[in-house]
Amino acid sequence: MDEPVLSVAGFAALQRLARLRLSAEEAARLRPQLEAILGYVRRLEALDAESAEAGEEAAAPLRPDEPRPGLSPGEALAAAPDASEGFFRVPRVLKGPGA
Amino acid sequence: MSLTIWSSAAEIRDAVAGGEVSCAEVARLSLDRVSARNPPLNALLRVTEARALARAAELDALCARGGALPPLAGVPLVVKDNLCTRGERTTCASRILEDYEPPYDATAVSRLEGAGALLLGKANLDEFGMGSTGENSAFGPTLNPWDPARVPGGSSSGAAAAVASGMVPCALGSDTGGSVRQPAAFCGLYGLRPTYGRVSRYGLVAFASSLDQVGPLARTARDAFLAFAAISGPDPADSTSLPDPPEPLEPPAPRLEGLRVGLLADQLGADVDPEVRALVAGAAERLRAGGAEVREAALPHAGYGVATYYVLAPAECSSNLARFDGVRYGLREPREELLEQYEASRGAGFGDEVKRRVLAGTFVLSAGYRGAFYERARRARAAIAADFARAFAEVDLLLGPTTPGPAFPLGREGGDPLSLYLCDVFTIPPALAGLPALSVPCGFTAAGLPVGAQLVGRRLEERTLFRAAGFLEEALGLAGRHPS
Repeated sequence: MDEPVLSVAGFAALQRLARLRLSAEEAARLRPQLEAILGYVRRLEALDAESAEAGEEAAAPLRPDEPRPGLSPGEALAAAPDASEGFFRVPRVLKGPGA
Repeated sequence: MSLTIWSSAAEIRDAVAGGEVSCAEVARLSLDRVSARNPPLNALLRVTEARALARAAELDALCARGGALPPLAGVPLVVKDNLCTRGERTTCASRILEDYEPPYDATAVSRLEGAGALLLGKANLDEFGMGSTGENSAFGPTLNPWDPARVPGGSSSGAAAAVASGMVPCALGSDTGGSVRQPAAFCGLYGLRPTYGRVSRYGLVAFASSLDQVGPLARTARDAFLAFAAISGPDPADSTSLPDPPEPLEPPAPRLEGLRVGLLADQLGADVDPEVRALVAGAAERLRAGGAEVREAALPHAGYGVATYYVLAPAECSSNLARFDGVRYGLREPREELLEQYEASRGAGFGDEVKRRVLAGTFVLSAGYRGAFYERARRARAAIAADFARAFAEVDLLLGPTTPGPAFPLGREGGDPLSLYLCDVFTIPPALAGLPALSVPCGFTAAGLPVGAQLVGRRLEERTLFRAAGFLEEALGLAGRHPS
């Protein structure tokens, strides 16, 4: 794992996974910074000789599954960039003959 | 009116309760100071004058009827702009939330207002709490009141600058890896990161949920304690809040008898500024002279803290910030395709540091890399927590510097974010272990910059931190010194 982990193609795929579009200029600036960060955190490999166990993550307690007051539909939609008839509006997702 | 802009929250509360001053007068004093000092410092993104005056009027009416005043009646304060305020914009200093008005208040905010505090404004920050200089704000950097050519620290940059410049006696920030304690150190304040779960995060915009905590910044140890006590305790709206009852409002006596303090000697090495080293060692000497038993202590794995944090925090950030997609709230860049719209909205709405962390977090969680990065970091976190457990078998408190140096000039990053990450070296380990930690002013450099010492305690032992902090506050006599 000593070669760069982020090829140009790999970095483009990473942007897709992160749902984040970078301009060419941004990508050229951020990719080497990200390489440096990922290179630095590899020092954690030195701990492999120790048998530290992470243990299980504590599960958050659950409250009873009972209705309780919440936001009204109007309040929940108030900050939406585009809402209509009680729904958040988004671009068409499904493609078909009628699209 | 005998109150000044440098009066403490405890003094304001007593003056209001004693009928010497009205809440409206206190609010006006603070608002005038904001008008004078905020334009150069850029500490507050918005002033919530109407809200503060309305609360002041309610309290003054209550007082006129002879009703019992709540414990922080008339105390003006500001909160970091990642704490939701109903009907008041909450931007996280991000373009993506530039116009967002939450439909509810954060629990910490409603508890403070319930205790009688006057919410005066929303404080600037590094975008979504990501940064340690205040420069990562989409709405411009905040300047350090002690030296406007320097950063106030971050990410609770505006909260720290507002308190240090006399706009308000205390403020709420949030601390993920040091974001309350580091700006407190850079601005000469007390800054508390409470035990993980001690304060509700309901209404705190999430960055890294296994680390985020809400905490106070104040000019006196007592004020920091009062604000902490007022916001502490369980909250049914936050399932990660601890069940322990709220902290009693009465601060602990500043007595050191029987207190065992571990001085983290390896945090006073060559990487630390010599003036910082000397001032922290001086604080240790004061504690010893005051009756504490001071011995050396060590955290052998703490040196892995920064690497651990910059895996775990971005991983959690990449997940938490997935909600900002231009659908339910926030900035939308309209596109024909939904996926393209997500990518374009997030690309336009997030700043560089947020993008770096979202990408880094996505990477360390991606197939093929999760074991090499994320799982390793989880093991390192456990090793660091075990170090603290061993240390606290021998001592009651750990003492070291909050930061390797005092506030540095604006613009230091220079395209190298990693060099800034390394400044979090001392504040990160207690955060990873979920422990309470308090930055305490311990003196000034020859150039007049404040320096902070960090006290770390056992889980839920905030009172022990404040015992030592109250003692140091009296012993060091720094209280009367303010920025010019």
